[in-house]
Amino acid sequence: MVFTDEERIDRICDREACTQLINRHSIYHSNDWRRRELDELWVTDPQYRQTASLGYNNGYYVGMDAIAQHYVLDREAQRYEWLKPYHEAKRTPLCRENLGLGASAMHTSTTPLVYIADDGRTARYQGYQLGYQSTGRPDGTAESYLEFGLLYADLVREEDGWKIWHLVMEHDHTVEVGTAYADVPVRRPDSEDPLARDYGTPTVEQTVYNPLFGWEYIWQDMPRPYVTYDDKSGYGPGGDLGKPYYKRERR
Amino acid sequence: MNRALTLEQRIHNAEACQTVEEYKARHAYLHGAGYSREEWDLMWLDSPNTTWAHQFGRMVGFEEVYMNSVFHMDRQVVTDKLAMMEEYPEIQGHDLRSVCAGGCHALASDVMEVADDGLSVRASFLTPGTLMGPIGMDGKTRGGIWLWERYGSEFAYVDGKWQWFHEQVCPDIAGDYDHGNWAHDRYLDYLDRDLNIGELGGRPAQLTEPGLFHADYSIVQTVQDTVHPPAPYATLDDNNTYSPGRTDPTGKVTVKSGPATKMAAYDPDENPFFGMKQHKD
Amino acid sequence: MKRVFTAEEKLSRWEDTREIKNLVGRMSTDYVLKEERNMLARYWSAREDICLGVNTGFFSGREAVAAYYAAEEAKIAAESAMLQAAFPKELGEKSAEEIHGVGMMDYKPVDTGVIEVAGDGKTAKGLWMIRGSYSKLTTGGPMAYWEWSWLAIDFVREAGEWKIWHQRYLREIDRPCGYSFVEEEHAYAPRPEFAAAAELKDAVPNVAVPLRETYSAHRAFAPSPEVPVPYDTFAETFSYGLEQ
Repeated sequence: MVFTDEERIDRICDREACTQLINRHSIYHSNDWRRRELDELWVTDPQYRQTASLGYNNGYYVGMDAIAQHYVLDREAQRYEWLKPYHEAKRTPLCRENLGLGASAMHTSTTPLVYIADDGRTARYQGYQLGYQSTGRPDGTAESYLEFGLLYADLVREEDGWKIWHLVMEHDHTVEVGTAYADVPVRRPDSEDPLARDYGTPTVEQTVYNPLFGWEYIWQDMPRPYVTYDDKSGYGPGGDLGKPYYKRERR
Repeated sequence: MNRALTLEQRIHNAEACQTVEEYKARHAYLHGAGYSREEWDLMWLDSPNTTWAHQFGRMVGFEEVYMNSVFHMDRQVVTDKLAMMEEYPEIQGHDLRSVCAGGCHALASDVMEVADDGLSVRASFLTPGTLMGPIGMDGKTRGGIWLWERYGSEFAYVDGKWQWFHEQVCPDIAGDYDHGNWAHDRYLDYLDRDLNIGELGGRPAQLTEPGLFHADYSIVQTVQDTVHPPAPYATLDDNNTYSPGRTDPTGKVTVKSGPATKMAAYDPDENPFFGMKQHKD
Repeated sequence: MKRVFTAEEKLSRWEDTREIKNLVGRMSTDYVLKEERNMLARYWSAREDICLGVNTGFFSGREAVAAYYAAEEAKIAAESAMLQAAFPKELGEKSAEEIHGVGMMDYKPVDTGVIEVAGDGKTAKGLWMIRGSYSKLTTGGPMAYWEWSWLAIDFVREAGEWKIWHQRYLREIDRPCGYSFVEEEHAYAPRPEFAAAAELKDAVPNVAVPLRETYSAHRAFAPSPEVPVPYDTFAETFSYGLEQ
């Protein structure tokens, strides 16, 4: 594909904008600004809202309503649960202003690999998150975990800029702070990972990532130069992510 | 960024920086997954002056780099996976190179400069990375290693495309998640004469320029400015490179290297820490 | 932001972003190289109203920021001298310059950046995460720490180069590696050769308005500094400086 100078400049700027869009997601995610994230960073066009998806190891939430229910409302309920012990021990009021008491998180997005489609309408993103999250207890202790995992996204250009359409936050490893990761049994099912609590029960339950087999399919899954969006190689529920070789493409 | 250029040259330079971001990220993922051939075939320049340096010294020439980074890496990865199968037969039937992989030399603190002549890019990074895996290098337990390094990277514009030309890796600190305190532990190891510096990169089978190119952390290690972030520069030459003597992509050599040394026969007398283990024994 | 940019202006704005990444990347690497003594001259604006915010408050004004870096440099020099005395065989013959920063490592890798350049091109704002680790001397010897921080910067363009105008460097986690994020900080048994480590002190801000309490199980939730948003002139956006 040959582009004019103006198109080349636009594509340079688009690529930077796409990287920073995911960085912004990571910051909002760290801050638990989840409603704000959906309002500001995710698709607004009705055709994309219906097919928007948020993926975890165990499946996809599909459509902005399902995403909001899980990502915002279920999370808020979880945060109230974490506040309850403080309420019981110290009479801390159970109110929205106190949510996050004793909590902390930072989710980085590093190592961005970004391609803008030749048609300029969508982009594909891969990154790696190295983060942590910690939840306090009223006795002064905390449950603190380092977490690691790949990020994939389909981004789409709307009138006011690039937006998140499909986002997958794969989860690789959970290390409890101050303990040896080698002590965690290799065959512990992913559902027993302490941070599997973040997955919830997705709309479409399917294996998107199996941490026991690691980055086995990364060559197939990583974004590469492309002409236009197609579901099969996208990062939504219609894509190949997580499928074994024999279900991808028979040759 | 040099802005006293034509618009076309500035676009070329901006695309160069983004290509470097792309190549470094692809490397991080492919290297983490053991897909060395896919990386070296696609991105690296086939030149006698292609170099790849680590603690142990500098590989010189595409063939030497390829031999050590693809042939030998493949053998090591597959050997490790076959050993893992003894304990974990469920990984049978999976891709031997990438199954259970997941270490990521994550990229941060990037600095990039494009030469005024538009024919090279110099870049530096910090990589607060991991060598993690659901099954670690011992083939038995989970792998929770972290490894923090500095990178000095150079790219050449040859045959109308950007190609990876030089890489220098400088490991500084490493440890296991999340136990031990690396500074205190290495201090005690030093006092016990039990700290082996220069072992973070393994050893290639043979090497044209062996030597300790960068020492990992110890309590008596002075500051090492091994891969200083690039400053604006005119052209890739011996004053502006991480690989002196090897800056011409066509193969012209300004500083000659010796023949490749088989590492089994290499006496690492440049490394003052190698004697420490012997002292203890 | 209502401005419409030409193709060349768009490219210039991308170049601004790349130059800002380079500045922050260089500064980040300078921590590894123990170059705190040169950071003010290398990266900061020549203005008098520069401002550096840390958890305990602001160093407001050029003199105060210089005092901050001088205190950091004094700690590096004191640690280096302690190690030279503790390891006379290895370090005794070396000059003060040769041992500057010996035996201590400081990684502050910056990533996850969001950068906005003003429509008028005169200022810019950036927010990054730091997932770092560093070592320092305690009375019990060297101790390594995990560091998770926010780095928020207002930049100003001076003589064609981006410089730091206001900076907030706020630690969220600053805890010994290998131990709990919240429980009483682990300490190693004192060693006489490092007794002077008790005297190592951080600089005290001249504006003692605490900006952030590091994480604890009893702290109210503390989000990042505000995230940069598109803006036209600095007057119409928020500041990471003292004004906020």
